[in-house]
Amino acid sequence: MPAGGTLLPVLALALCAPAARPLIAEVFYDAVGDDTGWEFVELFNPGPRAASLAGLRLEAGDGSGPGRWTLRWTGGSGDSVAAGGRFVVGGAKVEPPPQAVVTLDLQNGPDAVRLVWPEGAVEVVGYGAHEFAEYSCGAPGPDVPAGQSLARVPDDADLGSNALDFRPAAPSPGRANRPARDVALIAGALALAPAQPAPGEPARLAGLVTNRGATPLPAGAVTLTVTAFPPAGERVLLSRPLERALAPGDSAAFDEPLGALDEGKQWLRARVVLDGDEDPANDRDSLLVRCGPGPLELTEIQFHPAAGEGEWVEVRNRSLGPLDLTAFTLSDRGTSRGVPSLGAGALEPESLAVLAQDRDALLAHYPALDPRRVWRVSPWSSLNNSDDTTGNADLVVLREADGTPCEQVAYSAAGVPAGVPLEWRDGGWWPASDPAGTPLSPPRPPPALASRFALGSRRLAVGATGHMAWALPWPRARLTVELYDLAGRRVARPIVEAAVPARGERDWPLGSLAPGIYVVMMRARPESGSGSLSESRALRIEGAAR
Amino acid sequence: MRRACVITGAAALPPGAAVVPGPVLLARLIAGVALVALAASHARAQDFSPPAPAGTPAGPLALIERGLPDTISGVRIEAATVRWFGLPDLATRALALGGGWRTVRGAVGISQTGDPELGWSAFGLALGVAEREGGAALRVVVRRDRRLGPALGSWRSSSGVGVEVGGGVCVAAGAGLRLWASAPQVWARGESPPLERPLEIGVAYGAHDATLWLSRGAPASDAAADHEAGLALRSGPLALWAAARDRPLRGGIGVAAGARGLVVRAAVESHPALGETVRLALGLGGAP
Repeated sequence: MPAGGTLLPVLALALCAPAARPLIAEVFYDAVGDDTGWEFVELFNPGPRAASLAGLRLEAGDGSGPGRWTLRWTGGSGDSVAAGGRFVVGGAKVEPPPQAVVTLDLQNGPDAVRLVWPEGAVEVVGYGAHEFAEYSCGAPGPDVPAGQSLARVPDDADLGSNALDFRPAAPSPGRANRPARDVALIAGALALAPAQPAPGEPARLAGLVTNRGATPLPAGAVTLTVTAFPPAGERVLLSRPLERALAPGDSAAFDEPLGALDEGKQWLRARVVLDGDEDPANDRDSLLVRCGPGPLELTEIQFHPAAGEGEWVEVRNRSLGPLDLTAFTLSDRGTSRGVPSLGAGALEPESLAVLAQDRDALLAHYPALDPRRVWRVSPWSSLNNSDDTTGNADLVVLREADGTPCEQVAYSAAGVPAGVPLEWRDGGWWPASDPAGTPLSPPRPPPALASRFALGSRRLAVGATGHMAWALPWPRARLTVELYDLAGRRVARPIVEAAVPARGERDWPLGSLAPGIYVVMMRARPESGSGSLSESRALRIEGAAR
Repeated sequence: MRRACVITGAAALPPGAAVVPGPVLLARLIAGVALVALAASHARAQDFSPPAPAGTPAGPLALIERGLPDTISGVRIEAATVRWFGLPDLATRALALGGGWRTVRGAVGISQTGDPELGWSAFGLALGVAEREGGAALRVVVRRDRRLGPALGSWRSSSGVGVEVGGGVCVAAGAGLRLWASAPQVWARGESPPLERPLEIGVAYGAHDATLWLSRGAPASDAAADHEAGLALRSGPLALWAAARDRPLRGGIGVAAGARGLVVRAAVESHPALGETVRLALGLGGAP
């Protein structure tokens, strides 16, 4: 029976949408928040002639039991859909206004809507997992998340089941679900690099563009425009055709140079332009950015506390006026943003404050701190203690409450002795000159040295902790310190090619080094440029013969 | 004038006087080497380091430093200074008096290393026997921190005073070969010596006026062994030598000259990281 075997699927395919009738093209049943006024059902006439909707009944089905269909709207004698046109039945808040304004009160899945034509033809569109077959045509469509609609894609798809014809999409009442020409920016994908450029520093804007239309877009068909809105006024930063062709459904990343931004907080608005774009609403996206330093800066980071005081960071008000710290957030690489609380008063210019993971523990560990300037941040984003493949351990990010970047510090944990915070001094982040940290105080100045390299003590007991200090002629340098015994054999390397500031000091536990005379050799070179220097000192480790 | 562990070559006097040791003495010396090797702990000392090639030790400083006697009889005086890696606060000055009568060899010396803050003074004594077939000696070094002051009573202080006892043995194996072992710190008490000096064993081969030597120092602590190779050349009153060591790889050269009983020695070793160590010595009696 080959003929019948071929015809049956064809007949089944024809069951969902009655022939030569407008069909259900889009159902929006679950808005974000209260649905009232936002719901709509869009009808689409794919035929070559206008279709009357007189007597057409739009019914909603409650999938929790059989036969629960209730009328929502009936077509009047004057209602019709032009050839290739759309007719929207929806709430008062739908934009553009529907042809028929009705409070649909559709249920969230598993439920259904159906069209019942005066002569008895029926089209059912079900969504969600149904128990009763009457609520869908074939397999039901997906139960879409709040804010998205159940859209027929393409608009005249009729493949034999709701699951094949419908998919989640951005609501588009009165417009094609899959227009012929539509390019869109993917919302939330814009990113500035660097995230907070310095004044005069060139920046780049990255993002994603997608072809949501049915027509392939050749290279150069889409133009990307980026406009900045700093306090000084609007400024176009970029207007350039994208050089990549986009097939229907394809997305492409872009990463375009913007040049230097104006200093300060500002919006960046990106727009993609395509001739004949049928949905301009999805062509724009924006990003709140800052060029140059923010009003609050990080001055010390304790990411690996060793005495139970919890993690903490020290911040300084670098603006000219007092700052309300509750208007800022603190975060790491993740998306969770902690908000300060439990401190008191505004932070005066040039003043320091501490943002703490465990305020009580911190105050117990540093009892001399002014509790009014110690703030608990909740939720606290735990800071990583070891570097990843990027060479950084984590990010510490300060933002204003509206998300504007204020300061971002990527720190490396490499070479930082356990329990020692990082502090900002000499133009970089370095292990604190006071190993215990200096919350609410500026960094302790390194000791003045009479030479390039000095040992805290030339005689140490076995197992003691040594101390060394250096003063180099370069602002940043790479430093190596090695120990040799009197026979010239290298026995230890306390510091290996560490990035250090011009002046610094470091504790060094001797560990199991045997008693004897040693030569401590310091070698340094500038981090950029040429030159090097080395100095050595004799060190005696005292102990009994073994 | 005779030398123990005689070999032909740069260190041999008279030239070409190679001998084969008697089997009984050879067995005793080999047993001695083995005993020293078994008993050796990690060695420590650097107080009486002369500018001399390891393969041809000579003089009272070497006798105290390594416990290896030579066959030269008579009275000798030797003074030396060492500047370690160019560090001005880490220089050694040493003076030793040695002598030989029949087969008995002895030396006594004093030295001072470093400045008063981290330096120390040392008194050394060595006593041994030497024949053409071989020799052996015991050495004792007592050290005392310079910061303890000059009072003699401070030598009895339990802190800052240390003593070490060790020795060396060498044997002429015939055919120009000479073997030696030196364990300067078999026993140590009190304040630790400035450097661990483990057991060193070596072999030298001499022919005509040239001597080649190889030595190996046992690993100190958990480190690897040290190795040294050298070549010494002799021409009349003049001797030259060059040596190379590992960990890290480095080299040194030395020169010695003698006239009318006065011997001058100098050596420099270049370290790739630490710079140069310079040794100078002046002796009365003996040969270069």
